[in-house]
Amino acid sequence: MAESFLLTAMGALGAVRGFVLVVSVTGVRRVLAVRGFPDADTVVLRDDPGRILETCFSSVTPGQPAPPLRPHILFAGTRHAPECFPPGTELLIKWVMDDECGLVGLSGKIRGVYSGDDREFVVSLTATFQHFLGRAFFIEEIRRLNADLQDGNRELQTSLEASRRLGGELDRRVYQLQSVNDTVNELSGLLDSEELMQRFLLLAMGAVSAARGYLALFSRPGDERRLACRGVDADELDGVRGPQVSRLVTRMLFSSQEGHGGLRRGVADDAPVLTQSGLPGNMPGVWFVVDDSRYGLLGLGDRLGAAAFDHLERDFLLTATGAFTVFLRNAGLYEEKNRLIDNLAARNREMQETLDCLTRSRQEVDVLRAAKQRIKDMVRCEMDRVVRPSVMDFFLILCVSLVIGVLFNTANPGGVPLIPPSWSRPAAGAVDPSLARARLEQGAAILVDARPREFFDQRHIPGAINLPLSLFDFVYGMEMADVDPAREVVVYGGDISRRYDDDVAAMLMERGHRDVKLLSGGLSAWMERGFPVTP
Amino acid sequence: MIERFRTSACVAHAWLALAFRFYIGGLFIYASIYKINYPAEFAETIASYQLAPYFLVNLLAVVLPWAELIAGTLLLAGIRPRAATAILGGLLVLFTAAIVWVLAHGVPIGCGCFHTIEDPISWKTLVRDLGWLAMTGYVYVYDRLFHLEEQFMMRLREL
Repeated sequence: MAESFLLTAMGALGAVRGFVLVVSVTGVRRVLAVRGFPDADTVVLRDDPGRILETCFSSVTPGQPAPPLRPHILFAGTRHAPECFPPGTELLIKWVMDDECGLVGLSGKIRGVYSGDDREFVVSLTATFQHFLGRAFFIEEIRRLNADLQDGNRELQTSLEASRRLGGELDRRVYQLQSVNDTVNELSGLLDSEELMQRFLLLAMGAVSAARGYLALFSRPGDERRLACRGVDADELDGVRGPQVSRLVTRMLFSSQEGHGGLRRGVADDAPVLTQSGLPGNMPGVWFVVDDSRYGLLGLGDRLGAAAFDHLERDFLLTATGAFTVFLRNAGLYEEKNRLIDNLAARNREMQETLDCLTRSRQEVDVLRAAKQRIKDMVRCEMDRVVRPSVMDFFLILCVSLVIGVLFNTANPGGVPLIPPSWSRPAAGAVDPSLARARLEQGAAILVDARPREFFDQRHIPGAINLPLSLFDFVYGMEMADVDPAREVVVYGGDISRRYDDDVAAMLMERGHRDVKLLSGGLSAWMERGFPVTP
Repeated sequence: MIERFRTSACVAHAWLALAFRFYIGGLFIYASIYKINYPAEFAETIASYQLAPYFLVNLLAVVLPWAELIAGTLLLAGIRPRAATAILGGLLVLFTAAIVWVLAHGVPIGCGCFHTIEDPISWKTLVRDLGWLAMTGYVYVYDRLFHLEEQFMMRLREL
C-alpha cells in the first residue's frame, strides 16, 4: 500500500524521488517505501528510526499514548530538510495516529516547484493514505489477533488434553493416596506383629489386585523367620532362608535408587534374581529393611492385569511398605516394651522375694547375733565363773588330798592308824578323883601322868610319875620296873585330842599290871575338886 | 598421767603378787614334805594343840600335808590359783587361830609347821603367820600372771 501511495503521489506531482516511513512510538520501523533515493542516503531511515522520532516527533514520549495529529507539511523547499533525511528532500509531510508516526518525503518536481495545490493534494492524498494505512494496520492486527487466537485455541486444546490426562492421573493418585491412607489407618491401630503382617499383606494384595501373596520377615541374630501367607502354601516357602534373602536385600540396598535414597525399601521384580534367592520368581514384590536386625520381603502373585507394576502401584507399594515398616517397628517396640515390662515385673517379684529373703535373713542374723551375744555372755560368765574359786575346787582338792593321803599312809611304813586304837580294846576301869586321892594318901595306889613332858612340867598332881607314851619303855624301866603288878595304878592325862591315859593304861596292862584304872574326869576334874596340883 | 600411774601400779601389783605366789606356794610345798613323810609326828603336833577331837587327829595328819602340797603345787603352777590360794589362806587362818589359842592358853608346844622340833610358839610365830596370811590375800586379789590355765582360757577370750 505504501508503494502504491508513493507511486501515485510521485506520478501525480511529477516528483523524481520519494519515500514513506511509518514508525511506532516505541521506535520500531513499521513501513518504509523508497523510490529514487540511493540506499546510502536512506541509511538513517532504515536503521535509525529513533533519531527520526527525536527529530520530527519530539512531542511523542515512548511508552505513552501519542496525541493524534492530522497530516500536515513539516517543511517545503530545498533548504529546510534535516540531515537525517535523504538529500534532495523538498517536501516532508508528517502525521500521528494510533501510536504510529508517519512521514512522507518527496524530492523536487521534474519541472518547477511545488505549488499550493500540489501541497494540498499531497496532504489530502496523505490523509487518504493515512486512513487506508490505519485500516490496513487494523486488518493486519485483526489477522494477527486471529492467528494468536488460533494459536491459543490450539494450546488450549493441548492443555485440555493434558488436563484430562492429569485428571485421570490425579484420580489414580487420589485413589492411591486413599489406599495408602486406608492402609495407614488400618495398620496404625495394630500392635501385634503377626496381625500387622497379615493385615498389611491383605491390603497390599487388594491394592495391586493380587490373588496370592506372602510376607516374610527375618531377624539376623538367629535367622528367625516369620511368615504370613495368603493363597500361598507355606511349604512352597520352606526353601526361603534368611541368609539368601539377606544377600538379596543387601544387593538391592546398595544397587537400587530406592536404597541409595535412604528409603531402605524397593521393588524386587526381577524373576531370575528372585529365583536365585530361593523366592518364587512369579511373585514380584517389595523388599524392605525394618531396622538393623530385621528385614523382609513382600511377594505378590497372580495379578489380574498380569503386567508389571506401574509407577502408581510401585509408589503405593513403597509408601505402604514404608508405613508398614514404621508400624512394625512400633509394634516391635511395643512388644519389646511389654517384654521389658514383664521382665521388670518378674524382676520386681524376684526383688520382692529377695527383699523378703533378706528380711528373713536379717531377722535370722539378728537372732543369731543375739544368740552369739548370749553365747559370748555365757562364755564370759563361764570363764569368770571358772576363774572364780568354787566349792567344787575345794571339794576336789580336799578329796584328792584325802584319797592320796590315805593311800600314801597305807603304803607308808611310818603311817598312823586312822581309827583310834582305843575303839578296838576293852576300856579300862575308872576311879573317882576323891577315891583316887584317898588311895594315894593311903599309899595303896600309884599315880601316873601320861601326858608329854612339857605338859607335865606345866602342871601335874603331886606324886605323879610322868610316863609319856612316846618314852614309855624308857621311863617305865626307870620309874616303874620295881612296882608290884598287883598294885593299883591310877592313870590320867587324856584331853580332847589324845587319849594318853587310855593308851598308857593299855600298855601298863600289857606289862602285867592287873589293877590299872583311869582317873575319872582327868586332871581338870581333879582341879575342880580343889585338890592340889604342882606347881 | 593418772591413767598411766594406775596402769603401772597394776603391773607392779601383779608382779609382786607373782612373787608372793611363788613364795607361798614353795613354802607350803616345803612344809608338806616332812609332814607327809612323818605323819605320826605331825599327828602329835596336831594333838598338842588340843583343838581337834582325838578320832580326827590322825586323819588330819594324813590329809593336811597333802592338801598343802596339792594346793601349793597348783598355786605355783597357776592352775586354779584362787581356789588354791583360798585353801592355803584357810589353812593359814586355821593355823593362826590355833597359835592365838595356844598363846592365849599358854600351851608349851612348838609350832610344828615344818619340823617336829621347833622353838615354842611365840608372838613372832603369830606375826609370821599373819604376814603369810597377808601375802595370801594379796595373791588372791592381784595375782594374774603366768597362769597355766590361762593358756586355754586366753583362746576362749579370743572368741
